[in-house]
Amino acid sequence: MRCPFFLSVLMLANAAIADEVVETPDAFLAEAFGTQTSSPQTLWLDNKAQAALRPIFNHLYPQARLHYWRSGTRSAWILDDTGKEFPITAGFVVDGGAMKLARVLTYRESRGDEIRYPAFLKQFVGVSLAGDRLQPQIDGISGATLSVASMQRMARAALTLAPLTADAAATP
Amino acid sequence: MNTKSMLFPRLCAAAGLSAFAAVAAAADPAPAKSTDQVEQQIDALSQQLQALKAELQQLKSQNEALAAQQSAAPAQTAAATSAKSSPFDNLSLWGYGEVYYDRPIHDVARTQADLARAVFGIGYRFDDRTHFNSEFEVEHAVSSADDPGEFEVEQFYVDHQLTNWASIEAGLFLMPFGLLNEHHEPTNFYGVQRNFVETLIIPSTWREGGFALHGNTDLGISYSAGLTTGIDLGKWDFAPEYPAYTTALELEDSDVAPLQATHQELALSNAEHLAQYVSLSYNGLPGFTAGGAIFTGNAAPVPAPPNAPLSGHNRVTLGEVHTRWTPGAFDLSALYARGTISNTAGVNLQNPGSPNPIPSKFYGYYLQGAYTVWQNATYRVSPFVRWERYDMGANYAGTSPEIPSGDVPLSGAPGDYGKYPQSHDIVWTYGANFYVTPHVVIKADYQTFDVNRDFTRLDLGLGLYF
Repeated sequence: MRCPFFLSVLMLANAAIADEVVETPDAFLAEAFGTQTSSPQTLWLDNKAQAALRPIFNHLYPQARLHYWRSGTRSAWILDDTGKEFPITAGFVVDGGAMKLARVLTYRESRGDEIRYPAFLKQFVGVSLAGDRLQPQIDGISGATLSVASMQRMARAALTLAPLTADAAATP
Repeated sequence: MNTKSMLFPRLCAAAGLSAFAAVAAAADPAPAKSTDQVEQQIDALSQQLQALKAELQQLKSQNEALAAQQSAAPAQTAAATSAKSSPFDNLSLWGYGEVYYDRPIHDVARTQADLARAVFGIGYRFDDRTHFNSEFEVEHAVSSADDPGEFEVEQFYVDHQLTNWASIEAGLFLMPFGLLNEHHEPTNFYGVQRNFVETLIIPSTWREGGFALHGNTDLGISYSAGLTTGIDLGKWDFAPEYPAYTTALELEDSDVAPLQATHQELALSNAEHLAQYVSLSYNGLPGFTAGGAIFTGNAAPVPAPPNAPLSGHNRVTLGEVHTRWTPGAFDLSALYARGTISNTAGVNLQNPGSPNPIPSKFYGYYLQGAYTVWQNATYRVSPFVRWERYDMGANYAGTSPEIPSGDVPLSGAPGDYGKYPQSHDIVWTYGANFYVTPHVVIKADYQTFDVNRDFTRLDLGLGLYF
């Protein structure tokens, strides 16, 4: 009995995927915008943007530019941040200074992937920036502290970056 | 200002200089030598102008390619643009450590300061699904034959992800018991030292060698099940010369508790008998977790004399349940742990008069509440209170501990007398964690003991985790 069980466990490996892809970016954008997904825009992370991001991540964001997607006042962001060892990729949708959607796209850490749970991500809907914190507060997950903190940092970054885009400035 | 916009004034300046030089050369009746110099300058400027034109053309091409790439780009993640290129990018380093100041208020001569542990972790990611983790620990600052310190391998395992909900790990890994054992870094718990229940009953930092299947589901259920090395009762000390501990600090460090004294940590472990464990945890609601685990297996026996062999096996079982709830600024937790060791009557009877026979039952439980009274982006202050009860020898088979009454020698030092400590107590802890950053914490607490009253103490601590 043990051998077939072991073989069946090994066969599951065939269905495995690289890292832990919880949701593809395309699926996230479809969730964010429906069928009206636009072409990606570019936000150059100039001195002003990096100065806003640095207090959030405690370092400069390691890219010169970021892609984002916009439809009306709604913008979508895909960001990376390291919880403990490796980057977590997450997607956020911001509208009118408030978070509308948060998703874990790819999880690469060895522990803490409970942040992908819908009940945890649901907390981000409606949060906004209150100074340097999210309001209302996000409840954590025991044993996933660093990953939870990473998601909170990325959410703050998305809320910070959305008003910096040129099209956001042009939007009444 | 981008590169392209900076090029334009430079081109204008070069063109202007060329024109000025040409006009000057035509109008100035200077000697032939000066005219040659001007012509040389014009040639140099002309070459520079051509170079700038070529550079501009190259930049135009690059910009056009970039624009095309952007318009055609799929939903590209930031991770893809920062793809790793060096094997060293797969290497990760981390660490944690803690420093204690411990002052027994009824026996200040036993006040101690200690670099309790300095731990360094090395991980390597072989591929997207396979990684290696290890932790190396130095306890009590100096590890040598003449010093109290130890050097230990705390973790050393390979983890391979089979699916999004199942991974397999093999090597020396932490046992998924309680709230603290897998998350024992000083920033993760309240109080200068770890609570007594998860030190004396669950022997954190508890690790065993073996392999395990673990994972979690979208429903919020985490699981782990494994086959590991077990307990070695042959390490039990029935006749300690002096009490194994005389202060609360020594109690936590003494390795006198049932499983502290007998777990093997994969150091030439007796593997005749392997143990099994299962743990389940629910994290489906934000801020709430509840779970439990059970470990059981036959232990390596206490060596018996040839003329009085012991029959039967000693089965060691440890179970625990725990919960934690963190609504808003509150952090509330509770844990109960209970262990048994079977068939100990014979071996205890072979060691009559021992102050430290093997218990057949031991348990502990605690309630803890913390509240974050103030925080900003960096700092956080969280006072807490904890009530806990432990009994390292709740039941014995065959015999009971023979504890000397009155004052006994506590060590080999002349005049060092005191009461023999009891193996059970009720402890109140009042204190606060002050987080300088989320990764650096300063702690203070005050502990009272209902039974071993001389253990009452003031603790200060510094912890860090990166």
